[in-house]
Amino acid sequence: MRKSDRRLHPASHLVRRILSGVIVAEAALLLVYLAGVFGTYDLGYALSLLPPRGRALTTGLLTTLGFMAVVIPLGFSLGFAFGWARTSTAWPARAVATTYVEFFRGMPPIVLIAFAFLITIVLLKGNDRIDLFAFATGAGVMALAAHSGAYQAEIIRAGILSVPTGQVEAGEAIGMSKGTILTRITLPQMFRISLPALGNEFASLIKDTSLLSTIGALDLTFQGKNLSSVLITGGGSLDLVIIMWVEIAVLYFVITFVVSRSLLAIERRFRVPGLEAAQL
Amino acid sequence: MDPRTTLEDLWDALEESPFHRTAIAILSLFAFAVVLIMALAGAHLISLPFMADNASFLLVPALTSLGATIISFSLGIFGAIPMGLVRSFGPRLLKQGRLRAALAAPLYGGVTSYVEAIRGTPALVQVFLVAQVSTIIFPGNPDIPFWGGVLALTLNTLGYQSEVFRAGFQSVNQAQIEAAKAIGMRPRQAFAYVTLPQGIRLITLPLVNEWVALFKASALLGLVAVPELNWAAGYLGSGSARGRPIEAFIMVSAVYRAIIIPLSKAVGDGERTHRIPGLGTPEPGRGRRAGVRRLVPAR
Amino acid sequence: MITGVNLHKWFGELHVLKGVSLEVAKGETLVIIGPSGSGKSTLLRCINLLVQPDEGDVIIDGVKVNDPKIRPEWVRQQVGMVFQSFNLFTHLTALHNVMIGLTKVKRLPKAEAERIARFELERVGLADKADAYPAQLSGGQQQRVAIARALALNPKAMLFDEPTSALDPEYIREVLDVMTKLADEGMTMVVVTHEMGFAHNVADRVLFMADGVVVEEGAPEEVFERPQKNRTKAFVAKILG
Repeated sequence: MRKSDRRLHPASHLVRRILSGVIVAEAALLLVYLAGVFGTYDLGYALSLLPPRGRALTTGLLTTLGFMAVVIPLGFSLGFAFGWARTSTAWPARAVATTYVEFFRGMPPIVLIAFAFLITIVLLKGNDRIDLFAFATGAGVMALAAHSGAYQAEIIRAGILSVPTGQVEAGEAIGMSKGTILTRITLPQMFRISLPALGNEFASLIKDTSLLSTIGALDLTFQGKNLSSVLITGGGSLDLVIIMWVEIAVLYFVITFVVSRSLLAIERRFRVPGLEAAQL
Repeated sequence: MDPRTTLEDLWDALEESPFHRTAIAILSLFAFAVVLIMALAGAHLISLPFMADNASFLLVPALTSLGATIISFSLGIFGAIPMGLVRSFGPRLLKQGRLRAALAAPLYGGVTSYVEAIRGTPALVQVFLVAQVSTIIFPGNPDIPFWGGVLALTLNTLGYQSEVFRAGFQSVNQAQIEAAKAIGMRPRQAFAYVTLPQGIRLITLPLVNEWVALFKASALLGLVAVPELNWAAGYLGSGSARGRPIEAFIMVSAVYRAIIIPLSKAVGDGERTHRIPGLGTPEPGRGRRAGVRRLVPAR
Repeated sequence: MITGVNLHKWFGELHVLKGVSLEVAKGETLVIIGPSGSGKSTLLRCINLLVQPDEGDVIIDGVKVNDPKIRPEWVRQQVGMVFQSFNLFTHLTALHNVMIGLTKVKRLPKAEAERIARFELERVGLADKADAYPAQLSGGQQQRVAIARALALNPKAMLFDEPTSALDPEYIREVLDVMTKLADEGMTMVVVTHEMGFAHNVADRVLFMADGVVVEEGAPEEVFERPQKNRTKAFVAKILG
């Protein structure tokens, strides 16, 4: 006679998630300790880097958060606009939107960012009235936002197509105005369906802000490059380099973790039983 | 034979074939690009001879990118399959009593934390970490940047591919497993004859998407002294004397897209659904108006 | 031939089966009716050990099959099962669906397995659909293939878990016809169903279950026309209108 099946307690999901986070933190610390095997394990150094004491990483963290605050809304606006256009009944809108999506999806984001930067410089060179660097960085940020927007457009499009057509007709039948149907019927359902995928895309976008370091933005990754080149030319201490990068990685992890969790909470708050995206 | 009828027949045949929308999309984008380039060249904004002269410069770096991607991806598959198995069957083992749980927990915990760490951190940071550590351990070795980069890419793709395999194993309809048991199959048999064949079908699309994502990530290697495509394009595009970024961008776009677009379209417009399979776009059907939706009533 | 003795089953806190006993003689058709959540499907799954009873015994042909020494796989070869959602293997043709039990479980050579499989498909009236994939078949055809798949293993008894509940009305008839034919041929059957016509015409005995206990059992006429317990009366009234 076997033990009866035990249904998994709902809280244990959260417990397992927290456990994973703790395990990751422990793994990071383990890595740092192993770094000590190669050299001298410098806990003092490790702690001195962390915000808010460590100036480099603090600047980096704040810069990264700043870029996030700009790029996420920008990307979402682009994604929403073009996603809607992709499902429009007017074929010119569809054509433009499709071109946009295909253009920004078929390339590595780093290439898009780097060349947005370079091309802006070439185009605007010689114009002494404007801050060339700022413009070029802005172009890089736009490229990143456009890249993410292309993926978000596809997600939004899928969300729109998942809303059953009958709903619009039902709204018409009871005499709702166009605007009411849009805001009260289509969009709420579309957002609920798209939210998980959008959350994933936001997480990717946050990680991709690290690419801005290549065009000179003083974000977390840039600080890492800076610090590591100082460390390497100053004698190549392996453990310190590892410590530093692991800390930067942990900071990124914390940011993405917090954002994902928040979105998950929002998703749960608005969940309607039975309304799910393409089920597999 | 009336030429017009033949043309109509051809058009009908084209419309009915499953590839017609894809083919038209690719062809029209290509035509658009060519026209744009010609116009720009005509207006003396870009230089065609520059592109022609330097095209061959991109060849070896392109192969380097491809090579790095293929090597990392293949290595990744070997690790990702067992990791996917651990991740999908782990929770079940954890429920099955203390001995099995004790054995399974560290393994499951280890794999899970690895995957979460990889997915939660930027690939660029991973590349920098691994490449710099490699250069410090083996200083002066000219091959190290490439192989350090390959290692970084492998570790990265391991994390994502294991999720593909996990979802594949878990997505097989549990009811079919029940049916397999009902006709007397042992759990191992049910796995081999039901879960596995169906799982393979389920993972093909996300795996190709992951390959494309890895190929895009290989561009990061150019930042750690690997002479690959992104670096080569940057070389052509910068530097005050020789730098012509617009032409360089056109060329490098062409190469990347030539590889990426056919692959993506081959698996039906793979969404980069954020490297988590199972959340695919519902394909609404093949009619011309199928992908179009009236958000708001007409009139 | 099939005996269930005082079966209990808990799922977490939920006490699904509360001391259920049943008895099915060889060649008999037992139909189990009752509201949803009464434990009918769980009871059925205890017989072929897809669910392990927490207390009580299941005896098939004199063998106590829930004994830990007995392999569940062997038990499932003695008793076939047909599911509400057919559960055909979607990556195999109809023929291969029927054959796979024979080749992989009974280890028969392919030629003989194919012979038996084609015979069973013929028996359910689908000989011409042998090479079709489940996705190409209608619901009724899929269910009949599922029946053939179960029959191919030559079981001593057949269990049916609401076999027609997921079918469009036009396909219910063909599946019930196959089941009636099986009953006439002398197969021992335990059927959970809402099809009262089938219960009335084909069943030898009817068992009414509610809230995890057997409320009443007897011949179909007795249970439907002269129910003894109030619970049964209420349920029968609702079903028969």
